[in-house]
Amino acid sequence: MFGKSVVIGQYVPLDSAMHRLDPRSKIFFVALGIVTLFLVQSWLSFALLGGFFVLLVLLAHLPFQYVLKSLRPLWVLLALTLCLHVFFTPDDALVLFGFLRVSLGGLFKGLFIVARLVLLVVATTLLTLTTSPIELTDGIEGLLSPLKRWGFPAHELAMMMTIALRFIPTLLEEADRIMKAQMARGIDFESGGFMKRIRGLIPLLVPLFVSAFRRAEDLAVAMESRCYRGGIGRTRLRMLRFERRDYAFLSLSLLVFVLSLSLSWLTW
Amino acid sequence: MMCFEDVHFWYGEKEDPRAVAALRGVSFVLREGEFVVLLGRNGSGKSTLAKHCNGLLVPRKGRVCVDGMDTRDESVLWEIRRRVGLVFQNPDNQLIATTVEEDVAFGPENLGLPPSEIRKRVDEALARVGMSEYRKREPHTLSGGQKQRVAIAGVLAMHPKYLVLDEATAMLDPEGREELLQLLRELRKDVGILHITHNVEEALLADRVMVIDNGEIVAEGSPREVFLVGKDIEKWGLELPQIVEVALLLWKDYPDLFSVLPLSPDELVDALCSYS
Amino acid sequence: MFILVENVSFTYLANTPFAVQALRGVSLTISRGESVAILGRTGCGKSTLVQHLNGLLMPQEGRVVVDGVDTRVRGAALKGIRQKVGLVFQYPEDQMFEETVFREVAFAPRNMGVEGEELEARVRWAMEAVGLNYEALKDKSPFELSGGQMRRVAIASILSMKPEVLVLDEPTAGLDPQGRTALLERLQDLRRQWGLTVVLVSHNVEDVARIAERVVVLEQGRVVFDGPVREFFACEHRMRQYGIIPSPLLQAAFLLRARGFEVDPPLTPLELYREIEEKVLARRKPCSVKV
Repeated sequence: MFGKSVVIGQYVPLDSAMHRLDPRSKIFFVALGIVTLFLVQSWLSFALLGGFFVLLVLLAHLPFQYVLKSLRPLWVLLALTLCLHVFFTPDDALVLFGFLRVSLGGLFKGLFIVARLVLLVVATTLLTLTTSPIELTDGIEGLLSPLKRWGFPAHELAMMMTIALRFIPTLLEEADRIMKAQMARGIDFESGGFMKRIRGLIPLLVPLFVSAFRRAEDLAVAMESRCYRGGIGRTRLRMLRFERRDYAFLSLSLLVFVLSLSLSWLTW
Repeated sequence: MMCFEDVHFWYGEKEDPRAVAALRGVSFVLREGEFVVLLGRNGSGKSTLAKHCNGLLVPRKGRVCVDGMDTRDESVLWEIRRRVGLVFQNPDNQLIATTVEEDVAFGPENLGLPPSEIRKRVDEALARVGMSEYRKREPHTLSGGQKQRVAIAGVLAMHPKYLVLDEATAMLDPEGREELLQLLRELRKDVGILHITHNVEEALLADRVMVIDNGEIVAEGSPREVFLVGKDIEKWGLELPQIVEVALLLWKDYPDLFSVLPLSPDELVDALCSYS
Repeated sequence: MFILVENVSFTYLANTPFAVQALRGVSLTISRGESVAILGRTGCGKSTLVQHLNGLLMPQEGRVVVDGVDTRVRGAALKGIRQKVGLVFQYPEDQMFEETVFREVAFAPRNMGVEGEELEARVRWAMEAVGLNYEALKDKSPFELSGGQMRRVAIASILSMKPEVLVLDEPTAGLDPQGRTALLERLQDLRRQWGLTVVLVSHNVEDVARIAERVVVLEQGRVVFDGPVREFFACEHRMRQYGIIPSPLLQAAFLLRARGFEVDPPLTPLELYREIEEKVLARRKPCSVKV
């Protein structure tokens, strides 16, 4: 009952232009975006990229607070980055607070890095919010499959991800059940010192491992019974296909990225 | 036709006469369109037998043939597995993909069918088991009975000729069990079904019942024939179906009460009414 | 009255879009020495309710009182409640983790602070109470045992707390007929010999018929029936309405009643046999065919 509500990843199931894109084009977009973000050096470029990302969020019909929520775990990191730059840049001091010097150059540099990180997270979030875990897996398999020629286990990797996604809710549900069963036997997971708590995990972890191994064994037998023999000769229900919209999206992204790079070099 | 010919199997190195879950000279035939129930207590060897049907295990002695193909012949193993679909006990541990339709597609994908054909088969199979509207759902949000129906759809999408269910009802609630049995009743005209269970009530639907104990088939026949053994069925670790138990008690006191052994509540009541 | 459940409501993931209301104002009492079955279809709230009986879940509204103590206590008092109300989950063998059967059964009393001879005596009692041979099995690994034995070890590992109420969630699920009959007989002995109160959670009519005297039926988180087992089994329409499938015995009795024979709902094959002898065959009155 509890596990039924487990949400993996942050996928928001909507029907939008961004959702309909081939997962490979979105992964490609993120990869190129990251490279661009690390290369550009001017505020103008950031503004351009920022504007482009906002446009994409709008295209995805995503409420802005969803995107901002993904920044929440990063606040501390962002604040720390800014502070380090502001206070510890060996530069002309703007103001002096005892041994602390507030540096103007540092402030700019810090803000720069913060902006870069924020845009980075927004780009990645655009991918994870609009692409279901299965599509993501398919996309990664699709992009990595040319490497199969050199023995790279692209199919196996994707299959592992699929199975993990399938079983995480089941195992969480099971962990909840076993934890309650042991609590009914008088164990207290919430009190006691560190060592006591670690020891207290054994009655939870041993049954979980036993069951996970049994599930793995059952699953292997079930897969073999359904003629699974690795990726060779296997087809897919949903073959990924680049549509016109994917080409359009990638061309536009490329254009924006190149433009922001050239802006950066011109103004630098 | 799937046939077992004097199949022996034991786990471990040597043949151990006391070992549980081994097989000792099992022979039987399952024809297309036939519904056979295999009854046996835990440890009687019934799951070992199930794993022989599609070559997950191969006999140490004797042989298993599916439409003339020997399960020990590796070159036909995948064709055998396509023709003999297995459904297992734990519904959670046999669904592989993260959505229902992806899971049903798993088998056809392994067969290397073109996407349009896979799509057709997935839709057909889901409609067949009445799960079409759930096709986008994640397996862990389904009930046990629904999961087992998805597992059956996954097998049907490979267009099998035989369906082997290894205690597939054991973990279901009564409603899920009823649904599954109803589905088996509908499927019986198209595929040969071997339903393995320890629930004697489920055997009443079968064309033929086999009882396995200690690795041997100890009884075989129509439900009426097999359950005539009466209380002796307990020596195999089983019970009589409730109606049969009542009918046998009555039959002892009123020898002319029944012309044939009633199996269902309706048969019992009809017989009683025409008698009095 | 030993357990009092008063107007309890509970919602999973309350205040989120995934909120599921599992209990809606449930009230019931369980007295010492009773054997009660909680019935209902999957998802009716049975499991949520039983987790309230020993304080694993706390009521969001209403209250649960066990032997005079509200379950919303902490520390030792909460442990006391969990000791008094032993809860056996579905497939309890899944929770086993110790190296020997002895340690497995001793785990709960150890957590309650029982040691030494008293501990050994309890383990021995608990194992024998479920029909396991103490000397032969105590040093074995629980994972080497057969399915039926594992189930009994798991139940013994709750019994060793010496609970006053034993709550079992689908105790016979997955067992074969022999294992099932043996376990149900043991449960009845526990009640007769040791005066244990038994609460059985099930959707299996046959188990309920063998063990319980009183039936509480849940439907969508509400109590919709609370009364003697025979009274519930007398009405086919009501059983089906709440997702309970009548056993073949009951179905036969319903059919006979529809044909004008006043057959009482039977709990065992022997009972139906006697009812038929007495009320159908003895009278030999012609069948009034009304369907």
